[in-house]
Amino acid sequence: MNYPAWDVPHIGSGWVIGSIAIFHVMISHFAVGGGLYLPMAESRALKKGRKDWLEFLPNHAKFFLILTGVYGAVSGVGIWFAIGLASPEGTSTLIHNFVFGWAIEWVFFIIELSTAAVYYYTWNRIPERLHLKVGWLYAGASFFTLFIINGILTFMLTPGAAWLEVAGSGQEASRFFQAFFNPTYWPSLFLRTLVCVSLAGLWALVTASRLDGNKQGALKTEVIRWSFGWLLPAFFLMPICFLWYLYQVPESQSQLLGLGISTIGSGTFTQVTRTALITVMTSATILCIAYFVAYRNPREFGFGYAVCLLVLGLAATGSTEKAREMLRKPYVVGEHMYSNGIRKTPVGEPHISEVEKFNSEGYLTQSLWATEEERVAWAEFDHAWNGGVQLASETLGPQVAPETLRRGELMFQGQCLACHTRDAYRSMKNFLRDRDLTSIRNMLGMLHDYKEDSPYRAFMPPLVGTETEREALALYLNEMAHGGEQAQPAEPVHQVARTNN
Amino acid sequence: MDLIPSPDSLGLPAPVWLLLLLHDVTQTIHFLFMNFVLGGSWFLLWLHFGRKVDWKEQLYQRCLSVLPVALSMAITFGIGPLLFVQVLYGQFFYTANIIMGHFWLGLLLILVIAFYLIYVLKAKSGSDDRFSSPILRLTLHLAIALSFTFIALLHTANAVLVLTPEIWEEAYTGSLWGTLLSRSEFLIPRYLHNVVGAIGIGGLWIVWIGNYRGSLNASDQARSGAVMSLVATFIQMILGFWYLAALPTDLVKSLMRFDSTLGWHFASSILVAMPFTVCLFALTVIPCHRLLRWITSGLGALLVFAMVVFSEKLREVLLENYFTLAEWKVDTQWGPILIFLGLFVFGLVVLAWIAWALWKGFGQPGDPSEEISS
Repeated sequence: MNYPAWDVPHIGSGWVIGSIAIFHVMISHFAVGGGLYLPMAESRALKKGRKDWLEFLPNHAKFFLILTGVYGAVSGVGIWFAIGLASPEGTSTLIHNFVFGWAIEWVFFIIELSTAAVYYYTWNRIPERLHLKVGWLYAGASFFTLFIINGILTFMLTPGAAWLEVAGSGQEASRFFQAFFNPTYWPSLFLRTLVCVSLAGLWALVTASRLDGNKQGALKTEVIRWSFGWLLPAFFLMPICFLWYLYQVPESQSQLLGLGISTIGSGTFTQVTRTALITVMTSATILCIAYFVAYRNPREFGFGYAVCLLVLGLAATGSTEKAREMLRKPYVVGEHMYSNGIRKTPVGEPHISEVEKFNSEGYLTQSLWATEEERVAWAEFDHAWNGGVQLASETLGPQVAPETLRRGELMFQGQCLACHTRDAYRSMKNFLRDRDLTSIRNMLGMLHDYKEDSPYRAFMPPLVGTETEREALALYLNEMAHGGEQAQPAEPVHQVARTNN
Repeated sequence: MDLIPSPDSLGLPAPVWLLLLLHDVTQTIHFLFMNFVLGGSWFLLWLHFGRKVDWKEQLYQRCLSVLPVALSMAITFGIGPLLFVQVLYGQFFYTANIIMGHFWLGLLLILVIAFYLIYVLKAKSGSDDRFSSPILRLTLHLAIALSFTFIALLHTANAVLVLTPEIWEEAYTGSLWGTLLSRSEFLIPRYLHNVVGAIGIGGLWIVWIGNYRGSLNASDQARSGAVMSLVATFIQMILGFWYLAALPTDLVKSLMRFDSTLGWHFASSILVAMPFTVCLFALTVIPCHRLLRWITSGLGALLVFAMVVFSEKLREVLLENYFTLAEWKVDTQWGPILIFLGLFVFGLVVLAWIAWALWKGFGQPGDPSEEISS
């Protein structure tokens, strides 16, 4: 436990990142797709000599600039701030490996923002061809921001054999390009590009919906139908790209999705499957509404309908990102670092993984965030334990020493808090409601042993620490769940596993 | 037990000097934009009271038009130093962030609200579309200026936390602001030094905006910025002594003897500050002098750079008992570095081309300020 824990009550740190990321993804992908939409539309209008289009497009460009330039830029920094708070170890690994990747993205980002502003402010003020060039420059720069960030995002799911081979050796820097162009890079790039294109169409429908169907009927019809066309490539090509993507995802990860699909009949979906289904359903609904309401009746297509489409689009992008995140479980960097920041691959000398190290030396002996008094009390507890004194924890319940509970809390903060909260999202109180102390110990034992057939293995990291640290965690969880009261008999382990995944 | 987390096992992907240089350069550019955002937001409040005078009204509209663009650039250029500080001092930076927790993240919420409030002000600033209630407009101005001033406080608090690992445990387990304010002798002078310095550089922006073509009473407009900058610079000097006094005594003695690298950095800041102040004074007398504007602005930018470099060196010295940059293992990623540097140059060329396009655009007939604020 290198860093202190960032404890976010009720929603957990994951949802803090999620709530920023969902909106950011929607807007940043629009920034890429919209960057292509605007010069293409302008070019079309210029070729056809359509003044009405050229009057409509600056409004869309203004909306585009304010949305992407303000919220897109701030929320992007917001993700940086949030991941640094929630997962400093993971963020540190990414930044030390890819700082120049991000720096390259940053250059494109500066060009992107500058050209977006110039594109809007110089409308009708510079020669048409020059203005169009600015638009194309924006399109290119914004696509390259996607090109770069895609490498880092996909690295987290599939770092690739070449990078994993040297992970923990201090030689990681030498595999920058292999890590960047990792197995899921290209399918993900195609997928995201398709999303960008469809979001450009979706947002354009919002601007077009503001046109007056009676006074500007012809223009509104044309803009809506042309924008509808932007939705189509995604609907036809995304399934193919998605299969390509899944093909590249390691079996250990994709099995969560497969398991969910194969058990749909019995209703035991995995969360990742449920989330992916939301993507499919919302996307299909978008297509239906866009066709039947917008394409077929463009003059009547009002702002309310457009907002509905937007909300569905938000649900689709949000659920897709959520599914991608869950597909990565139990890692934050695939096969290298678990979601709680513990490294699976050996680091430094002696050449053992942090899992083995923490199991033998103790998880909290490495922690910087415990006081000397607490450490003395823990040593006494360990001594009593090692001395063979039977700690009848059931009877200890109400009298568990505060230092022991603190030890358990630190274990919880370090190893569980990245994904769970105490009482709301992925609530530990809920999970443990029907478990007594013995059952909690058993569950923790399974997590610690981390056997090949463990139901937790697919989505949870191993529990690390010495026997007494795990006992402290069990006592803390028991205290949290029951506050010293006796729990109901435990439910079967497989049932809990199903609830968790 | 020492609370400093261990440095990342991946080490550095570039030599320390290069990362420091990139950090300092990008931080300087970020500060130049940020200074107008912070200083300009207070200047706008002042201008708001004098809008019945034509030239003040024009200056008000122009500053309001530049503000969101400058803010956007401040955020974008802020990403650079954010990247490089994480690489160089991640173990300190992340810990300070976590200790500040919700405040650190809340900073962005305040930022986005202030950003949109500027657009609200802009949308309602036309001659026929003003708020009926002057109190509402004043409230918006105050909200924007106070937001940026509070964001500056959060950033300074973060920087102070990075430099003082000895208070981490107390700040983490107890009251963050209680701990920080109990050490206010370091936080407050540093904060005021930053804020007043921002007003000083912000004033230079006003000089340029006041001199923009088509200005009514250009000398009055530009002089208001120069006076603001000069007054702020004098106050900043006094605050600088206070900030200096808050540093450890040995360090201050070393600074005064100029027998260390830090001492030389300090001396170079003063050496740049002196001609800068003289030029500023001259600018208050002849605010429309083109060459003088360029020289003063160049010195201003150089001064910000010198202060950033000094501040970085100060961080190195204050943290040397815990960690030195020499401890990093370096495994240079030359390929990505060269691509980055090449693209960086390409980016500069593109920005120059964009500036040319803008110049061409606003060289056309019509009042550019009206166009921008539309």
